[in-house]
Order: sequence, then structure tokens, then C-alpha cells
Amino acid sequence: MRIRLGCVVAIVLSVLVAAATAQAPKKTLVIGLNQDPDILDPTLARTYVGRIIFEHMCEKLYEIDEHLTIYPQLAAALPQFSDGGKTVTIKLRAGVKFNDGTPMDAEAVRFSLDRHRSMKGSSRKSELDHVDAVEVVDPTTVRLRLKAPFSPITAILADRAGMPVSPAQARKLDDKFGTAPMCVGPWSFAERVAQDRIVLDKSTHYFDPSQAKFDRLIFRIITDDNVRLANLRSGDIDFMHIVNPTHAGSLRKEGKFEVASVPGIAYSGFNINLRNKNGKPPAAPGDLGTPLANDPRVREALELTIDREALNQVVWEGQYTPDCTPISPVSPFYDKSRKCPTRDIARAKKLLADAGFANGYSFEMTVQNQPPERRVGEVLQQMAKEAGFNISIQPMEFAAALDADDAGKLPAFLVGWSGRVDPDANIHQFHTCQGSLNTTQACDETIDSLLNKAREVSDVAQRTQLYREAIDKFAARRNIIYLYHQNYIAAYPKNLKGYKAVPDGLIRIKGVSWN
Amino acid sequence: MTEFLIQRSLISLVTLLLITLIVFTGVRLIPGDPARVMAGTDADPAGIEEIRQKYGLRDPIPVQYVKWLRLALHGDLGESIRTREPIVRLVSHKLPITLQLSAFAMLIALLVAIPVGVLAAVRRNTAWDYLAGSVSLCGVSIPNFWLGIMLILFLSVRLHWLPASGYVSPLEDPWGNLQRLLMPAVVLAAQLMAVLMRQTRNSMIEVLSADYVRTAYAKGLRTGIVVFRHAIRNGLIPVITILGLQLGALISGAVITEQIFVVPGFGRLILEGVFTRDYPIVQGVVLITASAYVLLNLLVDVSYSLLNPRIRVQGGRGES
Repeated sequence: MRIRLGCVVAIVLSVLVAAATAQAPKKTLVIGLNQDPDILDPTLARTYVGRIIFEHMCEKLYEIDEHLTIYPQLAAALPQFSDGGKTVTIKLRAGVKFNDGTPMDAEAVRFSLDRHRSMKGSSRKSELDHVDAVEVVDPTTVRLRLKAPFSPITAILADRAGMPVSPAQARKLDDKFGTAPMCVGPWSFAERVAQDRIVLDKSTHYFDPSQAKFDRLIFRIITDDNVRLANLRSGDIDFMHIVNPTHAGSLRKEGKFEVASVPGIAYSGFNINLRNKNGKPPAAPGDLGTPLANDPRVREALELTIDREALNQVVWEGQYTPDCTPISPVSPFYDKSRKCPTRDIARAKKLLADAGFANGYSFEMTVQNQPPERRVGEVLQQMAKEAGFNISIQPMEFAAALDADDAGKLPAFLVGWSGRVDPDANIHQFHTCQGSLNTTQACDETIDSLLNKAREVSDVAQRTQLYREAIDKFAARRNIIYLYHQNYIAAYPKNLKGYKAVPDGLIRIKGVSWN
Repeated sequence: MTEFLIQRSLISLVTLLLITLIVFTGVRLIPGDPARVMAGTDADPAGIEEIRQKYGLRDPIPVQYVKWLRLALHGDLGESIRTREPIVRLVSHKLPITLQLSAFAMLIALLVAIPVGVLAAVRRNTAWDYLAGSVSLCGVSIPNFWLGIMLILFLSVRLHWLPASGYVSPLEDPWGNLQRLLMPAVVLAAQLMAVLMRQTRNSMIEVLSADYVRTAYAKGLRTGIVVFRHAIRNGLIPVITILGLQLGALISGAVITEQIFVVPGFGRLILEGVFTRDYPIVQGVVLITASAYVLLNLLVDVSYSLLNPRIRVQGGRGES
């Protein structure tokens, strides 16, 4: 018996020792993602993580840099607006090939944009809703006819709606294109094992091959934050996407890893239902009959109890960026002169007393049933308590909460938005009377006209001014009280060089190499 | 016999139908609009509506069920809503991984539990017995996920002995496969090991005090021969029964283990399916698993009846 046991121990030990000598090849970069992307078809895709994969194998007409400035990627220049902003002319980079070797020309771009606009189940349809027609002018020029002037179109073409797909492959595979996607990119799709990994190999057709410094990229799906971190520390992954704020500090202290943090374009805040009685628009608004919905003093008192900095420290270890607007501080549209309301309990108490609630006011706030979201709710609850608010926290599963919010069943709802490069998509649909995500049913025609005007002009300074005025108005209305912007934190070994964190939080390995 | 077979098969069919019905309505009763979950956080209304249309989510549940059943009977379980991969292919990729992991875990559990259990029984109430008892208590009480994380931190992060996660096929890289499955298999085995060890110990103690063992000793046989030639065969019978019962637990334990060690197996498939409301995955996986269980039960019933004719007569021709 002793001999048999000894054998088992010896086998196990030899496995362990042999494993110690194994090392990953250096021409491959392994990236740990926190979610499994959905279908890898730019027309049908919906998930955020999917965009990280596209970033490396499906380039776009336009791209954004670390300052959220848009620059041409597959286009040769920024678009020319004419005809009062209704015609958009796009010059394309010449000599570009898809990863199957077919040419990426104006005809291919027209094909792709039309596919995005018309394919059954397309998730790009509403993004390209303002486009009336796509025309080929010459092999390197495309013209878009818009229904109305719409300046956010450039930013829209800097995401999946601006990704040309190989017409040959798309015709061949149709709605299965996502199983073998073919676009323009420094890397090309090689293999996918659902819930495990996505493998990209260096493209042989990319116009600037020097930018791809790795022969192979492997995206591994590791959903648990702690497990992903352990894999980074053990060297099983080289690059970790989404580091939990509570880990960022210790990782920095260890000194082995670079921790890149950038304020994201996403925001978190809470909705206060003003008039959503029977559903969001197009349903008609109704009177909820509650002081929280009807008395602006109650909402102002509530906001005055919040200390955004303290909230950030307590819940997010100070790693996020406190703010009171839907526009990220890194955006060129951010209003640097804006001062967020600071905590003022005395004034909050007075406002509450003026509203007739000197003895306190109670309401229910719904939060997603996730530990960090619950913590945010609890911190707000404690802060508001000092002024006499008695908030009861209602944790709810996310999808169920979204439904309930749409239906107008939630008096207050702690929720965020993943953010878009152009501020329009972060504001218009939430704050205009008929906005598709205006679940608070807030309605003010002055705000509507300011936000509509901001769509029509393309000058950044002019648009910034319009957003400033609009934000002043809805910040006073308080149908959404903004709290902070999530920072995108990524970590990688110190000898990886050239990585730039962009505020959309996507990882861009192009140009990155081992030192 | 034919009658018995038909009767049992019919019962199995009804069971299967009931299971599919429960799962089908069950997943649809999870709060939250599936179209909304599939469309993601930034859902736009037009996109959500398209999903509802495409997957027939607007139809009443009975209509959806009949449509699905009709296709399933033709062997078409549909495709994943998220990735458009056919369910049958997904399952055929994932199931072998989980089966391999479970088999490996069982092997580890047996290799450790039986010798240690026997040792604890033979050296009853000595330090060996107490040590085995405490280890087994730990095995039962330590949660899978904690043990998993600790192993990763110690063996992968600190010592760099084993890869922290992942899976490679044994056909591609047998050595890599073994390295990657060792930790998850140990974690998965921990509980089973503890249960089997206690069971072995108890049943061995019982057997060792039996008359025939006493006779063996009286014949002047050495302890080793008494234990391994005479006692162990009878001692292990209850252990085998327990092992069979624990098989299901092993497969369900794989759900958590696969999550920690990022093993792309069956457990993760169904878990992600539920989280992302990928109905076809959940339904397909449950149908396949349930069919396997029902079929196994049917085989067991039939084999019992072959072994023991008395079982056959139930509902037979009035014999008792």
C-alpha cells in the first residue's frame, strides 16, 4: 500500500514540477475579458466586450483617441458636411484590403452601411436612422444623404455602424457572418470557443502591418474579477480588462504591473420618476401625486445631502470620478467651469421643512441586486438620513428593474449608462419629452429645442455651449441626479509598452509591444 | 417483458415532456424581459422589438412551446441567441469536457478516499484515524469556490507550478490537459473524497468485526491479507452505492468549479445561458441532461427486472 501511495505522490509532484518549466510564447498576447461577447458581426452585435474584439479585427471609418477626439481610420479625412449639414461626404483611404484580400472600396462601404441599415435583426438600424441614402461617388468616395442635419453621425461611424464588412464573406454567410467575420484589421479572426476564448491571427492584408506586433491575440473569457486577477498575477493572462477598484490600489503597490485608469464616458446616477405613470414615451405622462415627483424642493434637498467625493471614497476606494453631469470630464464637450452642488445638510433640512416635511420624508429607491450597487444605495441612504430622508433600498434583478422602470413603477432608481463618444447619445434620449429612454417622463420644450439644436450644428464650441445650457436646466429639474463616472482600469506587466487608455474603456493593442 | 418495457418507456416519455414543460415555462418566469437582457444595457426599443419578433417571444408560451417541441423532435434544438451557434454542436463540444473533469475528480477521490478510509478503519482510534477524520471533515465543510481560489493563489500565483485556468483538449496536448485539469479536479473531488472516506471507514469497521474476518484471523492470516483479500470486497459495496448517488452531485458541483478555473464545460454553458436569458441553450441543455437521466433510469429499471424477475410483475397479469 505504501508503495502505491508513494507512486501517486510522485506522479502529482512530477506534474507540478514539469508545469513550473512551461512558459507562454512571447509572440502571443493573452487578454482577459470579463464577459463573453455575443455574435461577432458588426451589424448584429450588441455587447460592450464584443467591441474590444472588433477593435482588433474590424476597423472603422473613424476612430477616437485618448482625448475622445475623432480621427479618420479607414476614411482618409474627417467627413465634409454640405447642403446645410444634410450631405456627408467621406473620402476613403486608398488601397485598403479586407482580411480575405478583397478590396475595401466605396462600393464595399455602401454595401456595409446598407447592410447595417436594413438587415433583419440589425442593431445598427436605429443608430443609422438619420441616413436616407448611401451613394458611391467614385471608388474612394462615399456620400451619405441625411434626413435632417445630424452632427453625431461622425461619432456613430466611429463605432460598429462605421465598420465595413467584406461583401464577399457577408453574401456567403449572411446572418452567420459572425461565425467567421471578415473585415479590415491588423488581426484577423481565427477561432472561437464559446465562453472560453477568441483567437485572432496577424493579418496578411492589413495596410500597416508594422502596427501588429503580436502574431496572435487570444482573448480569454474570465468572468470572476478575483479569478481574472489571479490569472494576471500567475502570468496566465498578459492583460487584464476591468480591474476592480478595490484591487487597483494593491496592484499598484505590488509594483509588478502597470495599472492604467481613465475616467470613462459611462455615468452612474439615479432616476427620479417625475411623471411616468403608465410607461415611458410614447405613453402619456401622468400625475404621480408624490412630493418627490411634484415638489422640486424635495428633490433639491435630496441632492444637497449627497457628498459625491465621500461616496467615491467609501464605495470605489476613490478610483472613480465624481461628477454631476452625463458628460465625462475627458470629453471635449465637458464644461470645465461647472461646479457640482456640495453637501449642505442645513439647507437640505430647510428645504424639506419648507415643503412641509420637517419631520422627515420617506421613499423607496431601487438598486441592482449587486454588492457594489447596494453599497452605493446604502451610502446614499445614510447621507440622506441626516437631513430627514428615510430611504428604503429595494434590490432588484437588473432586467426586472429595467422593466419596472420603463413601466413607471419605481419612484427612484439607481442606474447608469455605458456612454457614447458623442454627448447626444448620453443626453437626448433621456431628457427630451419623447426620448426613447425618458423613463422619468420629464418634459420641457426649452430643453428639447436646445438638445435638438445641438444635433444640427457641428462646431464643438457651439455644441458645448448648447449642452451647458441644457444641463443647467435639467440639473435643476433633477429627473436624473448624476453621481460619478466609472473609471476604466486595466492592468498589464510593466514590460508591455505603448498602451494608451481611451475613455471608452476598450482595449487597443495596435502599436503595443513587449519592451 | 414487452409490456413492462412499453410501460416504462411511456412513463419515461411523460417524465421528459413534463421536464421540458417545467423548464420551458420556468425560464420564461425569470423576472425581466429576455429581449431586453439579450439587447444589453443600452437597449434601443426598435432593437428589442426585433428580437421579440425574431425569436417569437410575442407568441403565447404554449404556442412557443409547441413550436420548440416540434423542432426538437426533429433533432433541431435551435441556435444560441447570443452567438448563433447550433445548440447540438455547443453541447457536443462542452459535455466531454465536463465528463472528463468529473471522471478525473472521481479517480482522485477514489485513489485517496479508499486507502485512507481503510487505514482509518484498521487503525481505529489512533492518531491516523483522527487525522483522517479531521481531513474528511474539512473536505465536507470547505466550500468549493474558496478551496479553488486558495489553490490558484498558492500553486499558480505564488509558486507558478500549475496554470491558473483554462482547458486544452487531451488530443491536442495531453500534458497540458492534465496540468490544467488537476486543480479543478482536486477541488471537485474534495467533497466526494470526504464522503467516500467516511463511508469506507464505517463499512470497513463493520466488516472487520464480522465472523468470517475473525475466522480469517483465527486461521493465522496476516492483517494485510485479511483486509485486502477478505474484508475490502464486502467493505466497498456500500461505497459503490454512494459513489453512484454522488455522481449527480459531481456534475452539478462542476458548475462552480468550472467557473473558478475557467473550464469551458457544460456547467458554464448552462450558467451563462441562464444569466444571458439564452432560452434555446437552457432548454436544449436541460432536455439533453434530462433525457440522459431518464434513459439511465430506464436502463436501470430494465436491468433490475432482468436480474430480479419479481420486479417485472408489477401491473402485470395479476401475479403477486
